Amino acid sequence: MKILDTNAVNHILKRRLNLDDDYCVTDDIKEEAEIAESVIGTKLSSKVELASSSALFDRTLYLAHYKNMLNKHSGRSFYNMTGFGDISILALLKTVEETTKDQSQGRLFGTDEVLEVFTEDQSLIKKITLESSKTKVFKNANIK
Amino acid sequence: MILTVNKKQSVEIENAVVAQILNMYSEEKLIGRPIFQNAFANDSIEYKDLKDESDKILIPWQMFLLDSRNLKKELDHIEKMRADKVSSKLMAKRRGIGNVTSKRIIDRLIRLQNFITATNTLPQNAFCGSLVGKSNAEAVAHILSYFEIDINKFRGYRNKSSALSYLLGKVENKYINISQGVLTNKMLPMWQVVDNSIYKNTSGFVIKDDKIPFIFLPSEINPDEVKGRQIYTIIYLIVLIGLNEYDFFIEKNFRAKALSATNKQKKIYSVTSEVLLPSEATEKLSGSVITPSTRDDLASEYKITPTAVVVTLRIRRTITSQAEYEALLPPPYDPPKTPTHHPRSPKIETSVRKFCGKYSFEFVNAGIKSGQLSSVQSQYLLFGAVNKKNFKKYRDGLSI
Repeated sequence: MKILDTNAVNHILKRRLNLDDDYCVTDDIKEEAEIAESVIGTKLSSKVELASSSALFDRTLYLAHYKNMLNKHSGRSFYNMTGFGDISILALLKTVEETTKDQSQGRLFGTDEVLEVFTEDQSLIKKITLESSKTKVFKNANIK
Repeated sequence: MILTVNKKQSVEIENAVVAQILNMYSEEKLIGRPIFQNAFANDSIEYKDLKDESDKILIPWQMFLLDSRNLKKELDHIEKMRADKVSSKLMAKRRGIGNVTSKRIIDRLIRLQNFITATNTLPQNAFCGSLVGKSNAEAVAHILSYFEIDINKFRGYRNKSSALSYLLGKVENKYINISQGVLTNKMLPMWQVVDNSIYKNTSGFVIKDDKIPFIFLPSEINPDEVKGRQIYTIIYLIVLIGLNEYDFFIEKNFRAKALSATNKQKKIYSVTSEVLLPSEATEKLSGSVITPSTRDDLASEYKITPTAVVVTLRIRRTITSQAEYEALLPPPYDPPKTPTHHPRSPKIETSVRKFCGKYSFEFVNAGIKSGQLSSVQSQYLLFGAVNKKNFKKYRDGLSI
């Protein structure tokens, strides 16, 4: 499962990349990126799906993790309404990890459930390292 | 209470947190909203209901997921911002004594001001504090020259509405952001959410900043704010900025306050009155009988309200007796209970420009165009919440 951060979405839009692989974004990242689509003047590829659109996405679990991450990590601001994309990615990682503990529940996206996040945000990378040792983080240049 | 998704339990959210958030703007009585009443009664709330309701009351849904400790941090931060930026007297006003300034409006404007100052390198505003130590006459001359106000042109307008527009333009040109209360396009949580009258006692006030001070004019949200009163309010608030006196604001009970003012407040009223109705115009009337017609002619010529004329004449002793003063006071303005016509709702960009003010409008738009602002940030700055429908209309209207 390949997850895109906001800066990764912008990277794709700015370079008008034709994607080979399937990616997903959280609701928060999708909302944050809406302006980028308009400013850059291109729509995000259909290869990028909303994680929450999967029939296997468990929002009850996701919201529980969202609450936990929201209260645990700094860097988000209700005053400026920033940083919620990071929280949503951490919550998604936790949700997928928990969901796939029992393989019989199926997979959210793709053929395997290796978690990969594409971001250049050092603060998010630190949080991912702390929260999900299984997740691999890649720079945006690795998006294909 | 439990947050549920399609009736399936997700996570517990603290009742005390929900209550505290809903009481952030206590005058809006958000805690009485049926969705929340039911949530407290059933000890649960559906995620979709919470999200939809949050959009209506213009509070981010994520805030309800905070624990008490983190909510306290957020509320303390908001309080600190308010304390740094607006008069403590303004914040202390409570229901029952006439003035209740909407903290929601204050918070929205502080957020806009912080965005501007954090993302732009602006010079110090030369007007801030520039009236300190000046005599009344010097202060008046400085205000007119600094803002390049052609007072004869201002007075020459046929109506107060045009004079107000002229004045607004002049003040806004000098890096003072003027925000006006608007009732349209859901700029505030109204229309089946909060009663319009909640905001009507909000006074004119200033949000302090040494680069880009903000002025708030109640305009539409206060039915008493006729054009002449708005003109007086603008000058009064400018004088506050010029004198670095942020502990004052326009009181609802203007007549009593102006007449009983002493020291600093007296100076503020004196300079304001002198800009609009100079002493040389009223000295000529000394010893003569002031009639309602004289009062109304002066109000029309000098673009202020008849009440402001009478109060000014009383302060200057042109009106010598209390009986004469009381006889000349016009009856209190009685706004029509039901509008005589139903104007079409203005375009969303017009409402935003008015509520946010010239500089907020321009800087946020620039942030959107450059991609510096995310979609969510932009919507919170412009509308106070995510409002996708209005945001699309807004961007379409401005082609951004």
